[in-house]
Amino acid sequence: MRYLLYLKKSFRRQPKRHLTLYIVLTCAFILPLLISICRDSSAYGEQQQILDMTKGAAFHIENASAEDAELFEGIDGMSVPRYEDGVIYLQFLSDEDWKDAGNVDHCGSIIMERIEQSGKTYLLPTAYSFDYAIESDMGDEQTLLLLLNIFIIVLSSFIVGSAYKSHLRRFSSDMGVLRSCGAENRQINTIFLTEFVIVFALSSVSALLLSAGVMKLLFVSFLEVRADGFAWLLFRMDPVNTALHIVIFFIVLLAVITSTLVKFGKGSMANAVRNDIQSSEITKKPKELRIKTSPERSLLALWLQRTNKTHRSCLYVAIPIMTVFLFLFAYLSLDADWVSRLPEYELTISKNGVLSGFTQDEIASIERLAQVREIDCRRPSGEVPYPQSEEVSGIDIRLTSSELHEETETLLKQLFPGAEYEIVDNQARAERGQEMSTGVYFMLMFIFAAMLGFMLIIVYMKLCDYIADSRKTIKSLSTIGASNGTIKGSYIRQSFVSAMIAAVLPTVGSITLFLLATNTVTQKPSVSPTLICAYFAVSVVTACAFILPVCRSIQPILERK
Amino acid sequence: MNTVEIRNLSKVFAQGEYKVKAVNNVTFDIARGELVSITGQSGSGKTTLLNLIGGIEIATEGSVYIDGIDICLADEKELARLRRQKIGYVFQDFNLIPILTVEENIIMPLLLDSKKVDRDDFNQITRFLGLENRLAHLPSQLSGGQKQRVAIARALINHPSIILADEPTGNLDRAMADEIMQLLLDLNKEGITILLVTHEERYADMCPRKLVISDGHISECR
Repeated sequence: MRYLLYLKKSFRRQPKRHLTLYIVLTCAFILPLLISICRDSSAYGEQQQILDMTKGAAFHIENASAEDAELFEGIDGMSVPRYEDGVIYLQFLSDEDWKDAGNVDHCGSIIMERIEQSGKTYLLPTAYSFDYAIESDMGDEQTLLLLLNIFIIVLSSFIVGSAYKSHLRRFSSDMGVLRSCGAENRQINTIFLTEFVIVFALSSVSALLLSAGVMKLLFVSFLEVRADGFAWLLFRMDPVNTALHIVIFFIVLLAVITSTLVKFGKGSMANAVRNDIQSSEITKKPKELRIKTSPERSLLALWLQRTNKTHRSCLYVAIPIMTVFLFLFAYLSLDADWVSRLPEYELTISKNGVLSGFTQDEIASIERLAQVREIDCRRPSGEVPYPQSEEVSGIDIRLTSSELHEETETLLKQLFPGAEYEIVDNQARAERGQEMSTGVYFMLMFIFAAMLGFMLIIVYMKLCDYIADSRKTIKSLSTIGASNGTIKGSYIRQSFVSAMIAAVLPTVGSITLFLLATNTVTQKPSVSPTLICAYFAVSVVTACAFILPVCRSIQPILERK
Repeated sequence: MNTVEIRNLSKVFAQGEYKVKAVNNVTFDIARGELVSITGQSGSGKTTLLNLIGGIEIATEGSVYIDGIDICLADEKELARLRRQKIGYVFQDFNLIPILTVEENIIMPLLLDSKKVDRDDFNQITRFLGLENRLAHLPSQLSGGQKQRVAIARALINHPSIILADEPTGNLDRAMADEIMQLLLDLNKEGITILLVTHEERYADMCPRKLVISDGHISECR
């Protein structure tokens, strides 16, 4: 393994190149990890919410008193009834019995029989299946997130693979020299694959620490939800899921890099030693040169026709990344806006699970409260549980001041203590939503920083390499009388063309995706100033990402020639 | 009448504390239609002198007049124009643009000057240099001798006042080098002014006028 000495030296002599790869891989990792954490947290939150609701019990009998508990004693295979806050809980003694749906039906019918025999028809039993209460199935949203994540991983792998290809091209001359010294392709591949494994290990650990740290902080500060009336969201990072993401990333990347190395190994050794990248790229008969009115425009036409491969590959990187980001931004902004929108009615009280609606006295007692400005009665209009459709099933309450929502909620709970009454604090919900939307924006900023960092580094690396590879052409042009302004202008114009494409296409693509995604939801998209500013800022940054590296790297070449 | 007039030309390269005087107070003229060779050992300052005349390097002191214009006073844009219109350069390593075909490489100086290609003139040059069957080829598909012919054609296309040839035979085998040297002699017979830098005495001796450079100082040999 003495040839690995080359690797050691390479790390020491070209630390910038390896650092770039490390940053690219770390950034590429962050988005899938964030999605994975969100997915795990949502699933964990959902599971905890169900557990909190079911209390691990198969049957809940609501509207009960402590004395009613003895009615359900002695059911075969079930625990002693447990009474708590107007609810009797009954558990299966064994999980296996609970898993059997027939068993649940059988016990349910025994409970119903006992209720009917006792004449206590006000008791409201609810049965929970084992799958629902304990083993929450992966919902559609979870599956969708998993598929999205796999897609992002595969896409990121190809983008990283393209950056890795640029990195390997820098070493193609060394590879040629090593081959000419007698190194086998297997040995050369081992060097670069070992390098990849080291960089991958470092960057995956960094990305894990970074995403877990940032998400934990965001959850603690803004995103954690453990409140009634909300889908719970609790920070969770499932080790198996995370490991799965890393393994998929590693395998796809390894395949991409190995195929690149194999292709390099099959290439001409003479070309590799000469490192004449531009001429070795042109294999087909070139198209006829388009001569324009000015030298700068003619050169631009030439670059677009013959040397635009790098710009195209940069566009393949920038367009999907920025499209995904802008789509995420627009979609999550809409979601945050919807969640945090201030309600028309601060509180809502509804009467569930009984065969009669609110009485006139009950309605009057709400109206009499000093904090209440007005109420709006909702009628179910023939919904199944209500035989008399004119009865009031829910009351929306508007307060004299929205700040009184907590106080009024407490008062309502005292006035209507029964289990059939459900009080929803819409104001608290909106305030929580506003707090969460701040967290969502912070998360988007973090995602944007990672994605932008990823894109900028790859585009910067590729375009600087492109200019460095054009050194020979620049030198030749200069000696035959092209002014620095003409040369620089032509390369900047070439970048400008790519910059415009990179700025416009993600905007169009993300708007299309956004409209498609929101087509199925009732919440209609709206154009906010924040959204316009975000789109504008992303377009400007993307455009600059194409122009600045060329401006910066061409200047020293023109000065030195 | 002189095409090139060089007056007290010096070039100092500073490398940290060390200063190297590559060209030291050089003065000479080249008349229109002359073929002049400059010889000297490696590191004697031949290429630096040529680069100063061609406006590729900036002189530390002195003047270079081409057709009466002092290129040492010209700005970057003016220098580029002079290189396009007054000077034709032929390099040892050809300096062809790898992404352009032979034809495109040859017409590139015209393109940079926003001039139209005179097809008769183009055909005459390519026929003279034996390139008429190689016009659609890329530089990577040519031999060394062919590449140098393309470089000469490119230098001729704008009908410059002088051709500066820097070791044009340096990368070629004997037969090819002889062929290229014969081409330069033939071009000179057509009235083209040529300044040839070479370390091969054989080729320097073929030139009617021979200069020798040593430690940056120039001396007339013939």
